[in-house]
Amino acid sequence: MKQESITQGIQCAHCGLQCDRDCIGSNDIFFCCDGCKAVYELLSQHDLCGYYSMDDPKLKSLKHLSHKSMERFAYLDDSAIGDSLFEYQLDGKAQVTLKLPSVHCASCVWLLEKLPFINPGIIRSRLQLAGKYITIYYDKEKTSLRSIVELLTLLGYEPELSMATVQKVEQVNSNKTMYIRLSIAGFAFGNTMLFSLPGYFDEGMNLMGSHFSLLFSGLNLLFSLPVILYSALPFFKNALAGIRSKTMNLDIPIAMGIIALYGRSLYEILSNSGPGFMDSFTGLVFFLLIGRLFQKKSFDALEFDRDHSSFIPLQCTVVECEREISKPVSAIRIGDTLIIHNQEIIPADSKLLSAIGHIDYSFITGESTPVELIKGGMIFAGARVLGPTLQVEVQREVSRSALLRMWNSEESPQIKSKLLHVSEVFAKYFTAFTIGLAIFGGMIYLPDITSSINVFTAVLIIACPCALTLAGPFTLGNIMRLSAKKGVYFKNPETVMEFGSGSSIVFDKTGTLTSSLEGQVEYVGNILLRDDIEMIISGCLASTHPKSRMIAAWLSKKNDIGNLCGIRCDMFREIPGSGWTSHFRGHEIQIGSSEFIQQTTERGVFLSIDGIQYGRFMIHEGPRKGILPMLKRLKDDVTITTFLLSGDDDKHAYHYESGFEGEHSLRFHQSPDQKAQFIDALHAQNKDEVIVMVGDGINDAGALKKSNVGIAVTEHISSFTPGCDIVMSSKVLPCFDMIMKYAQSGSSVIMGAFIISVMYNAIGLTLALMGKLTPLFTAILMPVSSLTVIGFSIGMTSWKARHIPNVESE
Amino acid sequence: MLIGFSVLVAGGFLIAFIWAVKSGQFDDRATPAIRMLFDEQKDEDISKE
Repeated sequence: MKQESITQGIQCAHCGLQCDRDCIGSNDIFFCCDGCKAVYELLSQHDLCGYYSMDDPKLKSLKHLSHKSMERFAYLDDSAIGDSLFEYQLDGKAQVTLKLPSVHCASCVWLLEKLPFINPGIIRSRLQLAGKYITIYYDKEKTSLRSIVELLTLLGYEPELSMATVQKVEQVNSNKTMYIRLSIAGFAFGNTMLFSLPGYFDEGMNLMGSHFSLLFSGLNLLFSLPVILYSALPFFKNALAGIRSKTMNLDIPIAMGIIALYGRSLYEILSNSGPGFMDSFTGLVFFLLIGRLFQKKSFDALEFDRDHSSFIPLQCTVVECEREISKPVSAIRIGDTLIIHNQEIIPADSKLLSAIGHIDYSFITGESTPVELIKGGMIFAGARVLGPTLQVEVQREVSRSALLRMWNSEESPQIKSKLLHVSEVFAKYFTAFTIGLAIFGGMIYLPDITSSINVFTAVLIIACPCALTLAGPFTLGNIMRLSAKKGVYFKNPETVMEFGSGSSIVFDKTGTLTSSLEGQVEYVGNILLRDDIEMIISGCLASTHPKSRMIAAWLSKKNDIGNLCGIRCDMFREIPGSGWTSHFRGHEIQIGSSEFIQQTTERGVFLSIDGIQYGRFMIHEGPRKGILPMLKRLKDDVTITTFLLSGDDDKHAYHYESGFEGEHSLRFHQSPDQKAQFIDALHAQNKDEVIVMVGDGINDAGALKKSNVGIAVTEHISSFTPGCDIVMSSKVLPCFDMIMKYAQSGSSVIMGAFIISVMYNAIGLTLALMGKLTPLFTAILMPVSSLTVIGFSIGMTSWKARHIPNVESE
Repeated sequence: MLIGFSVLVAGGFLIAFIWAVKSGQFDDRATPAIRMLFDEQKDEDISKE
């Protein structure tokens, strides 16, 4: 392939940007980067070059915007912020790891690992697809962090640069030690089994001679040393922590069992009185660690504990001495004048200085319609600016903004998780019971000290709640894994239990039950001909307003216009918040609010063609498909009560009346605070109630936190969600009741597994109390009981999951 | 004799595994599989010129 170096002034054939460096050319077509070239070649191979002749004004504006909005990365030149992102720097070279949320496929890997060819200052770039991290190693003299971030943004992979990601350090190390612990235990398990086996066959016959049995015992002892000293360490640590804080946990009986097992084996081997239980001991630790690992395997791609810092940007542009400089958000003081561009988030409560501004409060209130403010109006932190750049004056410091107060008010003492409580009580009784039984067993044989101690340790060994600790993680872990396939992501196993036991479900309306993407459009007015429709679509496509988008989608679908690319308007002018004017084939089309078209005060989006009033579009935010049947099913379930909270007015209340029980369960005009108070009130009514809150956006954040189980519904799993216990794809919401039933089944499966393990324990305990516990028997009983429990848990949960329909998930 | 061998071999595997975990081979199991599919032709072209 021929390559030439071309001087400035040539536009990239793919993205339209100026090629300001060496550009790559083939057949008189030039590209700014390999990525563009690759895409172009692919398109031309498949005769899709039509993309380039299509001069979409929207695309153009996007390019323009992306070029201009690069200004917002200016703060990365500030060394204070830059330094906090670096992993290390040495000899003018630095390494930085950035999170790229939009990475998703093999071609992303291809493009991003070719970064050194695009920017010669980058020495090496490595992408980690699963975690969506890119590690870039670059020369600080040749390039800067800012230009790297700009390059990434230009390629469409904007790094996530919020306070939370800066503060977050990778914590893979703990997983690594976990694997090493497990591998050592597994290794010891296999080998001790091998060396114990001859002893079992030899029982009573003494064929192999004391020489060999001594060697085998010695080897077993050697293998078990790293297991007790290293692999089993977490159990001892947890048990010790439990004793210190005077709370019972299941690790205490486990630690006791391990010590008893090891101590007795050690004694037997050293005193040469028997072969010991080393194989059972290593096996036990191995199985316990597998359970632990399974429990720990949560989902890397999702973050649940996001707080306000994920919302607020790192920096903002401040006007100081008539110059625009960028400052870290933490340095903003009252009275500073900030410049906020389109789509940026306002970091602090401020007063509007520009004449007019359009603010999207959807993060805070959930209301998707933008609010119009005039000069002097108050804007609250967390609001997103739509349309032209605004100047605002800071009224309150970032740390004292209304947004943060909302977050802080939520941090009321958390109601203790029910499962934790149950397992704590269980652990307490279990430990007491085991110790009691062991002492009792020892007492029976009392005159005979040896058999008394034998029985005492045997009871502790066999009663070790190995199967018990495996049942929970495996059952709930498998439920979590299978649910994740369907688009429901649980925060931890406790959440599954909690969710299954939910008795009150509170739904948020806007964005949760309704979807802005599935709104219904209705047209009232003069009949529209095909030409008129094309005219309207042409303008709507050029507009960025969501309502225009919906109208265009609705019209093209209804009239079967497939090829939208050919339709484009000649002139387009949009006045944000009111409407737009465009020209198409010599006609003038205007669409906008009633004031814009100068008509009556009726609601809707008005249409005028060549100055003649045609009619209006009415957009209803309808409930998502399948929501109402789901609500009815929940209503029919006597154990569950449902409520609806909405920040909106009650104009669409009729949609939901059939899904809820009477007027009192439907509440409109609820502010975020009132939503949280409502949850509190429910708690006050009945302390045992487990409240499930289903919502989206930060306007529900307070209620999500107050409830026992907060479920955040999102359109895209990877997009932002407020702090919550469960993240649910909006696509699975129609099967909400089935998922709940599935989570409920978790506790019955665990109960089943408990019964199985208790049966095994009963057999073992009887033998132990009779003083007939042999190493061979424990060596068989322990793995068998563990494996049955694991098999039962996984089998049952997989079988129960078959009812839930497979909704396509990301 | 054979016992010693078996222990040595098994121990060797254990050390190999621990080394693999520590060196980060298991940190990212998705990307290398894709990475190896890209041919390096382009790099050679560039270095030639």
